[in-house]
Amino acid sequence: MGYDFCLEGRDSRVTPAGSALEIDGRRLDASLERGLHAGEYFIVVDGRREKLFIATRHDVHFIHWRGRTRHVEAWNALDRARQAAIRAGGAEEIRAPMPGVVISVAIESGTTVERGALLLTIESMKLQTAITATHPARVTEVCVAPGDHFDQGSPLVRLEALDAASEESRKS
Amino acid sequence: MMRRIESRLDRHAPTYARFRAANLARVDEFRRRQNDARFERPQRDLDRLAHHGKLFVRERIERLLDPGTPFLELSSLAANSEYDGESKGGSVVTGIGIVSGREVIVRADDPSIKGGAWYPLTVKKNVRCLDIAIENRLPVVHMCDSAGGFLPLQSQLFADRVSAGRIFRNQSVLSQMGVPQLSLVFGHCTAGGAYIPSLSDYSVILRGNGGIFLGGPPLVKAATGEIVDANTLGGADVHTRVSGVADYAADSEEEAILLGREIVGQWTRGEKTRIEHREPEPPAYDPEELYGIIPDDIKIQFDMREVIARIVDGSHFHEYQPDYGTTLVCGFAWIWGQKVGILANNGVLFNDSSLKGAHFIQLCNQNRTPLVFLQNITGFMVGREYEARGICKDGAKFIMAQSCSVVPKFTVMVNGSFGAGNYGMCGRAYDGRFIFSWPNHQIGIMGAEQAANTLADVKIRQLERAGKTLAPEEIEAIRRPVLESFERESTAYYATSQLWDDGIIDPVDTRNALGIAISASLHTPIERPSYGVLRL
Amino acid sequence: MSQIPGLEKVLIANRGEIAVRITRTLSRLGIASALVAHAEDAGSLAAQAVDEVHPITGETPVSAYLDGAQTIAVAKRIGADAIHPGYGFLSENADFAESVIAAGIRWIGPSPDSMRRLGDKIESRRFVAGLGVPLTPSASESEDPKTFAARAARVGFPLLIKASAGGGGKGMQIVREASALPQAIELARSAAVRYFKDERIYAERYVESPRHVEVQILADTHGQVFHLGERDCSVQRRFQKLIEETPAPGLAPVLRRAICERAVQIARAADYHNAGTVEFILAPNGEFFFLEMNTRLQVEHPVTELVTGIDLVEQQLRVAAGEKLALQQETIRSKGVAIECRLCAEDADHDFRPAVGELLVFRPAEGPGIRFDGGIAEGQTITTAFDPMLAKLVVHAEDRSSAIRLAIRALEETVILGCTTNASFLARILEHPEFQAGRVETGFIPAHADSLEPASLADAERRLLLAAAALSNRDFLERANAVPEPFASMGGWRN
Repeated sequence: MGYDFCLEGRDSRVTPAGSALEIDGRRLDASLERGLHAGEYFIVVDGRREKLFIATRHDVHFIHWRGRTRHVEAWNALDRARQAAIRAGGAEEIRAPMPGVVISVAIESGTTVERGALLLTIESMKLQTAITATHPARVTEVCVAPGDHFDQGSPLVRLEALDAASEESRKS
Repeated sequence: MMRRIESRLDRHAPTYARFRAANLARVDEFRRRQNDARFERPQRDLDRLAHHGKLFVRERIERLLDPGTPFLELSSLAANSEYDGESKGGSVVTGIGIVSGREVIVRADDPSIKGGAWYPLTVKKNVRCLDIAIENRLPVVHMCDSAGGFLPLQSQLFADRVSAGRIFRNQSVLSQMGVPQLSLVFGHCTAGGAYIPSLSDYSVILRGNGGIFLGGPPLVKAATGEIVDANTLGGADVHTRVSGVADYAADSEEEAILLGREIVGQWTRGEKTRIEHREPEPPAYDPEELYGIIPDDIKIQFDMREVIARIVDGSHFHEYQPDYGTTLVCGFAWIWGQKVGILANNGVLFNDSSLKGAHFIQLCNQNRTPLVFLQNITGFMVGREYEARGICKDGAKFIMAQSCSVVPKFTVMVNGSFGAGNYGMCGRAYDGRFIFSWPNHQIGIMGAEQAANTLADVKIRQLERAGKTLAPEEIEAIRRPVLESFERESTAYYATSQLWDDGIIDPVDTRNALGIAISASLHTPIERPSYGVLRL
Repeated sequence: MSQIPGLEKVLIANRGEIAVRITRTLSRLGIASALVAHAEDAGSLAAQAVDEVHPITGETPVSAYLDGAQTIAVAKRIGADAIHPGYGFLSENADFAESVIAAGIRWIGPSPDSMRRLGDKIESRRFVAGLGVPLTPSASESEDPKTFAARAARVGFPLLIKASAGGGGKGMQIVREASALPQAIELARSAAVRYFKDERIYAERYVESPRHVEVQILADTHGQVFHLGERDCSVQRRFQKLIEETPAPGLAPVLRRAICERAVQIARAADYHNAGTVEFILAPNGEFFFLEMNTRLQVEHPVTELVTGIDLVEQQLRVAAGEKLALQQETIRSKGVAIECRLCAEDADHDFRPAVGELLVFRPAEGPGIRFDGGIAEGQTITTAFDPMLAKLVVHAEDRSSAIRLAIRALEETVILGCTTNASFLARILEHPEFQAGRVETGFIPAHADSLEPASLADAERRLLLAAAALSNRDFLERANAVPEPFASMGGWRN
């Protein structure tokens, strides 16, 4: 089982190899033991023992070693492949999951939306549903207006997928 | 301290060098042919794959398997002697590997050969793959990408008991047994082929290239006049959003495979049957020495203990009844830490060796020890003395004990496998979990020479009764075609082409192949032993 | 029992590290400490350090601390004798100071009049010019808003547009050519409103490669005015100070004396009392110009405290209590060198993007000569609600090179995991040969941007870090055992 980690913007694959590790195809003998203090560890690599501090939160490993702090992010290959597919994707259409009526529209053509942003609210069978964006995108066409009735499968909104990376830069 | 086999191999004997040269040449030939079957394709077929954005079948498999794990490919040279060699590997790749930490069997269509169309032997290989899955309770990952049955040969792949229908029957039985199957649909699954994802518990279909339909666009047009493209008829969106025929849609082959891995990662790891285990240890002797042990002439005898010593862990071997029935070597050993009972031929089978074999098989069944048969057998001993002593019933007891065995059985065709010896020593018909053969292996009802002589003899006697004799050239004219056809149809390549075994392997790979095979077999429980009537 | 009569209880109208720092002195002097805190700060280090915490509310966390009326109401209710405003927020707001005094509470700072006179950029420049103190050319908007842009342009480029009402470089815009002027004016104005609730701005000539040298002033209500030496705060990024030190490296004693005496002159002429800092721009040719006066305690005051041995907050309290300071200019000596590094939640390797995150591990460096003034604690989550400065790492040593070495070591030993900080960036500055040679100026960071880039990891270092990450990764460890035998031992074998 290979695991992918990103350090300083570069990806590497680490695979367990018996009691050792294989990093990008090259073997490394390494083991980790806890120290006394919280977050304190000792890593033994190729016979050398070094102190470091490690803390982990949500797939990010923060490591303080030899006076510098860095972080290594563990990522999931499937998520990456999906994001690549969205980038490569392009125009898409959101269609009504069931027949109903449009209660309100939160966007207009040209609006840029983040993942999870509200696009429109519809009502069907006495239940209101919020239609949200599944990934960063730009609205290219709003096909309905408040009060419109629609059938199952009717187009509601047309979007153009945006690069996931640009979402990051817009956030900061 | 366990005892090791003491090798008496003389590496300086002239025969060692001679045998070694011959076997290296045989292995070279095998590797060359295997490489060709695995990788050599007309450029235009590879271009067509690339044009559709398709990965080569082996690339798909490599991405599916856990990195740094082994893959035991089965029947890599299936169909090599049929169809003018068109269907390389039988147009499908099967093998045992690890996906997300689970042992699975992979079945992957090879669309680089006639669009992945199924030849009769493709169907046979597919059925064999699922038979292995059933017998060993191995989860299956299908990588579907096939144009369907190869129509010109449909009569050989459609109607019979072990034909295309058997694939879907096996899938149903697997599911009934609770053994999961995943289909990754990379291309078209047409007609019968559509049942593979439909009968899989989980399926992923690729947007674009993937399609599942009982009738493809040409057939639909011919049948009802409706004109519809493949994607609209049975593409990813239809099946994952509307029909529910497929479970997940993926936008790239990479994504489909990663999703497949995540799905397999959800499967419960089955419990394995426990057999005796110890820490694995490589053999004490170099397996490369096998090349110097196997003779270059089928008539030359060798000591099978030398072969055992280069397959089993630490070359440790506890021989059973070492002084009795010496033409059958029986004993316990470990392969990759798994304890097995070995039966290996050191000559023809006599009354005593047959009895010893039957008895040893019973011991192994009693103490839940899988059996490994190392075949090099020309047959049972013939002659008045032996018939009078009841070699028929002794051979029968051997066959009875072996057939009724409840432990997993594995066979390696180390050299010759002729006549009834094949039966007792667990040939194909006896439901061994896996059979492997070496490149030097030969198999037949009898040896070519013997057959040619027998048939010539029949003719000579016939003419003698009519008062005629045969001239040497006439005898030769009878013998030669027999020799030729027997020789052609007795080779390891012919045998593996017909799937009489699960693949030719390099002798030095035997320990690994058996190690994996034994491990794969332990997902099935071992029942209490019972036998039919032994004619005592 | 308070050691300062008249000050039994002091309310701190601030947060974070300065609130913690002020509390340290209050508690040493036996004075009860009270704090106003927004809900965001309810569990902060400061809230836990003080004797009593009182909630304040606002539309945004920052606006709560800018709500003077609320704070005064709290002070009256709890019977606080004085309010210490810290730095930033309302510390330079003369109206607030007036309201505090009107409420019968002592203001720990100068009189509202001096705050108006000296705290306001335009007023202060006019006042100081009248004393004959050299100034950089400038133009103020309030003189004549309609002609401001034109007068600003006449100041000469490059120039700075700044907020009149507050210091700290917040919202300052540097303008190099006339075409950029209108937008810079708008940006500076909106920043002035946001940070100081006062939209007045002014323009001032920008001296290239200047050094920023400031003088710490301490004056009491008995006519005594002292200076406690100068600080060099040249190493800045976007007008925010990053590294400060005292004494200013390579400053000729004559020049030092001149600058400090000018500062005293200004403070005395303005009838200033309490702590304050007079900031000057020092040009490469030795000329110096008055920049502004900060009528409050500065962020970087610790360096002065370390070299003089004087607790500035204590002195502030005594002045506010009406005491005559027991100091003498001749005996105020500066010993050794002190350097302060501002640790900020910023990703220096990615455009200094603000960083957020939970402080999973926090271990400040400690030891002789190391002083860590922080407002953070392990387990706290850093958000973008407030200023990115997390803490000040201050070191004191015999000489400058020892101080630099100590600062680097302290930065390396400080462990902060969970939120990215600028610690290695600070260390790279300290390691830079130009810094070590004392050649600092306000353009230091942009000028040496290339050589301040981080070095990439060597191959072996990278592998060690990846190994550490993998061996800490739960998925990896769980599934590392998942490939069954004999498969795991066979590795990538193929037949």
